[in-house]
Amino acid sequence: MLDPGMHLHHSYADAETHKEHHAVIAFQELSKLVTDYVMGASGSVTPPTTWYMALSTRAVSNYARDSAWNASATGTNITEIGTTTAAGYARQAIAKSINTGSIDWGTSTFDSTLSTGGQSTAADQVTFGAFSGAPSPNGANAFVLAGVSTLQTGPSYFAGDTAATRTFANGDTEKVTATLKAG
Amino acid sequence: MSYYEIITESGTSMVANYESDEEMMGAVKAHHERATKGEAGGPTGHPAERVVRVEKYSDHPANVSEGMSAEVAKKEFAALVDKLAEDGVVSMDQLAFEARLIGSPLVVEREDRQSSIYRAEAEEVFTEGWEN
Repeated sequence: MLDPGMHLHHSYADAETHKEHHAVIAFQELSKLVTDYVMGASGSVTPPTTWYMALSTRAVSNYARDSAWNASATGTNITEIGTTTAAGYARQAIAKSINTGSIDWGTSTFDSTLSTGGQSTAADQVTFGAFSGAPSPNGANAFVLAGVSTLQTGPSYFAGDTAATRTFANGDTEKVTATLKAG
Repeated sequence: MSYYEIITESGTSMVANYESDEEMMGAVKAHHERATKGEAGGPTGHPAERVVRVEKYSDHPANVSEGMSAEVAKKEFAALVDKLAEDGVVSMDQLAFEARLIGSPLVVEREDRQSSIYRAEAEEVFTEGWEN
């Protein structure tokens, strides 16, 4: 069974807990895009040229809204797999477009439910791998949407837990489909 | 370290980072073999996929400079205006949207299902070596 990826409820209003399968979080960088870029047309707070999906060893329960990438798996740090030994691991690109021929975002849909609704979009499925062995660190517990291809760095926008810890070995691939709901 | 775009029979494109071509071949061979045997592709149990080609890059193929030569930009935008003009009028919103696509490192349309999804030109292309 594929990991369902993230289904993130991003809202400024108080709302009942969305019926998520897994814990999710919207980081400060995503919120700033709304306040500074969308509302204020900021020239410095802008979306990245390309989105990148990354895998973290730490579950969302460890994070805070201002979590940052760090090799130390402590506090609220986001720690990426494969930073010591990649064994094939690399972040996967998602284009900043809708319904083109490559990997990007689907047509958004609307849920008018007052308390839990919003506008949702799902990214095309991305695939990690093929792994040539065990990456180090290994054991993915969350997916993170990032803004650069370099590991363990850059802005992070949202994250969601995997259904279970994913430990990779030679020949493995991993598929992730991210969905985002803005409500 | 080099980056390799692995493309499967079904059109899946994934980017991997390996120390060498040999490491790449080992990983691709292991996954391809699972596909020929109908085995799972990874920890979630999804099916493995047969690999058809691998394209090699010195950097992540999506990691391109945001800049473009002025000459290329002039031609691209001139062609864009011609494409979008209706009765001599161009929608600025549509122009802005299409302009962002020009700068995207991922293609808008793939040549075919098994072609690269990246605009970057590969240094080397592999189409065999992982079959038994």
